Amino acid sequence: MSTTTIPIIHLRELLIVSVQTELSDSLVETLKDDVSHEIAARSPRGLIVEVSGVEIFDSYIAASIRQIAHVARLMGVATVVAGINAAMAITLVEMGMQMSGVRTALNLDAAVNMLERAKEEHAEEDAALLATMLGNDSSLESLS
Amino acid sequence: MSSTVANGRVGAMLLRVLGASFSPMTSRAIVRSAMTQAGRDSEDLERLGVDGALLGHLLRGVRFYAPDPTHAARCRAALEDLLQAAAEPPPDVMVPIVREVDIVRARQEARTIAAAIGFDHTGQVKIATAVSELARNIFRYASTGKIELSTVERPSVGIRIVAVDHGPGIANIDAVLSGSYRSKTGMGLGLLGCQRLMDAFEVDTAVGRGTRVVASKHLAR
Repeated sequence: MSTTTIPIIHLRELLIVSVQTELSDSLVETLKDDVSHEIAARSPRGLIVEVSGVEIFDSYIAASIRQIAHVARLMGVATVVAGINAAMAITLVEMGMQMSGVRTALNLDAAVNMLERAKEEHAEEDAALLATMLGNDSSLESLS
Repeated sequence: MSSTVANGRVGAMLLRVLGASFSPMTSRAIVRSAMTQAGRDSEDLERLGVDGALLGHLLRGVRFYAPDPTHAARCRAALEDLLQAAAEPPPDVMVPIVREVDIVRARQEARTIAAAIGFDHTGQVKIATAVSELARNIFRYASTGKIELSTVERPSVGIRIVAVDHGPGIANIDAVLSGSYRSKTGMGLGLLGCQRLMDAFEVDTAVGRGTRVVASKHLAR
């Protein structure tokens, strides 16, 4: 079994998860647990999941990343998924995957900016996103 | 005429290499004029590959269009690498799906073959993602099975994916593929997503006997 772990960096009250490896299903599961534990332990202001190092993510991995964002949000932590590259974005859309209830940013820098501005500005938007995700439960949905 | 250049594997690879340095229109112009000068047509380009004479004409085109010598040198190196790669089509690969890591291996193999066939980056990602869905379904629902990857020549050059297992089969396959069925685990979307990413897609499944999915994707003509 692989011993790869994905580091979770705590920086200026933000938790930053930078995924730089090929994601296996068990690695995604571990990451889900680790992130929620880190959130509980450190009560960060925001969570950034940076995925520019991930070349391929299929429906399961995309759903897992979405779940991580939803878990963080339910724990009161604003979350941004950053760095979905062009080819992956096209593939996800073509497959009919949505990342609903998840805020996304072009890159890590944009994600940090987003969270810096976030707090009050996005309080309403957060409430709306929360409503969307609770309405959707954890299943995937199709665009069409 | 321009479309015939990229009809086959070798043509597509040539355009991809040139595309790293030039616009698609310029890349096609370089290939077309080199083929004319070398007295070649797109059929024998696929059969015989790029020989020394054609490479010479290609490099002349590269030097003509390249803004500076560094540019031209980089393109030359890429073309020479291509000569080696284009010598023969990528071998067929069979990936047994037994453990979870095999899902990752299947999508990596798919990506490598897609690149060797001449798919661009987005095409490679789509193919690898589709294979990942099929491999995951095998592992999740049938425990074991296999994925076969091969090159096809018709209707245009492309990749053929065959996923076989002897698992429980899929009872409601029509509902799954019409999108009216949704599972918590996302299986419906996996197969449906794979179908949407591929050009051709066929499922043969029988409850209690297993599932066989045959899918293919071709280079744009």
